Amino acid sequence: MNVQDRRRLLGPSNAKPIVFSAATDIQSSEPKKDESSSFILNSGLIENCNGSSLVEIRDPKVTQHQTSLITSVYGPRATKGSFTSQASLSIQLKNGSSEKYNTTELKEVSSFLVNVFNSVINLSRYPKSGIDIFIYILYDKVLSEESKKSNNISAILPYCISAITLALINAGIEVDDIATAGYYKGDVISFIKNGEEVIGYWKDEGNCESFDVALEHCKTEAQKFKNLITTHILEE
Amino acid sequence: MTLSIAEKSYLYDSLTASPSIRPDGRKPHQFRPIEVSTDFLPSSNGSSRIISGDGSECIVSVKAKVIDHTLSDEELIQVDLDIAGERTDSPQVETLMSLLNKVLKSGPGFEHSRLQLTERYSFKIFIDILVISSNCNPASLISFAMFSALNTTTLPKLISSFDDLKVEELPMFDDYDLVNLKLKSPLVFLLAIVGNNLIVDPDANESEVCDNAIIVTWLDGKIRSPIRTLTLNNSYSKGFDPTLLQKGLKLIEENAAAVLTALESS
Amino acid sequence: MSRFEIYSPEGLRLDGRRWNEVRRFECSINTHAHAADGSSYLEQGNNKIITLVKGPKEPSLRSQANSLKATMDVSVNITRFSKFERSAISHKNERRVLEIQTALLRTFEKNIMLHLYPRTQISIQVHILQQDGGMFASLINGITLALIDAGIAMYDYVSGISIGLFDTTPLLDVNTLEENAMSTVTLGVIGKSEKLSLLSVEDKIPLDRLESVLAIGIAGAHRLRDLMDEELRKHAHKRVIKASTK
Repeated sequence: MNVQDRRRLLGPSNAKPIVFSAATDIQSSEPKKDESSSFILNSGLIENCNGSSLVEIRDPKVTQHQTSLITSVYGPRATKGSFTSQASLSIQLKNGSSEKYNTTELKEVSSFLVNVFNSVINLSRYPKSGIDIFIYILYDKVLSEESKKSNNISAILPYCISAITLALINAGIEVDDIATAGYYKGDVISFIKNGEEVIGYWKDEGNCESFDVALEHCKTEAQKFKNLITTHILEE
Repeated sequence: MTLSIAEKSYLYDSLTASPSIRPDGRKPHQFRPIEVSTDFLPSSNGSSRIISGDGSECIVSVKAKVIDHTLSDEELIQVDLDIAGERTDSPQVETLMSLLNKVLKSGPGFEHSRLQLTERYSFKIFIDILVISSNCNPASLISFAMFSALNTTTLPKLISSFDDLKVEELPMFDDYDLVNLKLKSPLVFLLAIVGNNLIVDPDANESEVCDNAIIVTWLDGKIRSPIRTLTLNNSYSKGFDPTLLQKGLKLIEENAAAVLTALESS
Repeated sequence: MSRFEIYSPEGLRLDGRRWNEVRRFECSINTHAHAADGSSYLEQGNNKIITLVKGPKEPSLRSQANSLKATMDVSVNITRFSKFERSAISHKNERRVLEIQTALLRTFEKNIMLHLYPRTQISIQVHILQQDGGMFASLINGITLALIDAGIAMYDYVSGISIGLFDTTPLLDVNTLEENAMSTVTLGVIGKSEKLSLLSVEDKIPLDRLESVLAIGIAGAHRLRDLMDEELRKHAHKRVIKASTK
């Protein structure tokens, strides 16, 4: 059927109704103490889209947030209208957690992420197409007392960047490098090429006195995320 | 005005040359001329109109309202942005509005407590921005306009007492006398990165070919948050050397004071 | 409403005008030469209006092109700070604004030689920085000036004026206070003729009084047309001198 229904928002053509499996015994959800990794990476969970990832950050010792993000990538798919020489990227960030984030702020973060990934994805490889990325904040809990007050979204930016990178790789979309980012006292810096190139810098708090320190901290953290992603890909 | 691929490549090469050659012959730290006029809307507490040489124009109005700050802890400065020809929920408008609200957040050097009238009441300031036309990212132009508008804003003079917690009374104002608010708002600078060069205040053509750009906020001799990188085009965007970030922040720190004096003298 | 004396027995209005006097009228054209093809800035009383005309240009959507004549669109932007009290809501997509847009479109469609510009689009943007009564009429004047600046062929000037009816006395060019206190009529008059391209009555008005209202309205509109014409000629003179000394 080529007739498009313009009056309704339709799901993808291969959507399936949800079928629940028979109830099994409830597993204890208490985190085990000997859990080796505080970062859980998973990809390819959603079947409808071209690529997806699930990123969970658990350990309160390492981070200030306990966060769980689910990302899905649709595309590259053909766009309507006239020819464009390269793909257009869109990112939508939605909040499903109990933390209150301003909707305009979420939009600002989305456009920052678009800016970051514009310089990473090989967009000219996909003419006349669109790549749509959706990130959903499943769960988010601010752990440290000081960042609780400011309700700051900066700290979860590195997770978003890692989650998108993982989902893009899962979708098989060409990227220049694995983009990751680090967070240090309000500064978020995103790197490619082993920290030799910066692709994004976001700062919402404080003055700019200890930039060198922040740069080093973010670099090591970004490297850590990169290692996690590479080991995850190799394991798969 | 879109450039052809050949034109873009020529422009990119001349901008990445050392020293960079800008199409209008500006130095890397030189701004385009701007024209500012203030205080032309009698029904607003403060107003300003700024026009850049390329025809970008922005009008800012500042209106004040007395609110009871003990009832709610809302921000005392609220920014509202309208870009002609753009929907209010378009990503460009929302992103810029969120940024501007963060720029005007209370902080050291820019305290909202200046707006407090009495123990109980405060002025709430509404800043409405109308961008009539813009050829490139208007963040910097808007911040200059906001600065001039806030700098010339006058508010009614309070004649009732400051302590009104014990005695219930509404603030009373003088019939004629106005006080100058003299609130110095932070300035926002846009810095484009092309190859290993940094250029301030990129015009529409330069924005088309730059690798990346940084939005830097400056107040009272210091760089402060928010700072962002952003890409101004899709075709040329790529990463840059981290040292350029440091260099860029330094470049702004060195030249921002001159911009401030220029704006204050107007 | 009896707080103010709208029209004193001596024949003076709130702002000191007589019944047949218009407000201060200042205009200039080509104010936004870089941003649009035609532009004007108009101050009529305390109304302050910026008008930009873009076009005739290629339509942004192919579906908007008409092979016989130019398509026109008008967008009116009433800023939130335009009144004394800041409005809490945005005026975009407000019913009244949409109505004004359609009325303006109809008024000017008849007066522009649209058939000269087939397959093109003429878009008009109006920004109201401050309003003080008779806004609709001022919009007409602003658009006329901007269209002339853009060099778009028109049959004649369209000048707008609003007239109130206070008891039995028509009051020319009303301001906000007068507009709120009585019913008003807005006219769009073509050039020096007695032809109307717009007549808008939003309240009740006795039919036997309408004639006197229209008479003073048309006379006032002719005066405004002269004021606009004078300014345009002055501007043209300046441009010619500038061009010849180059």
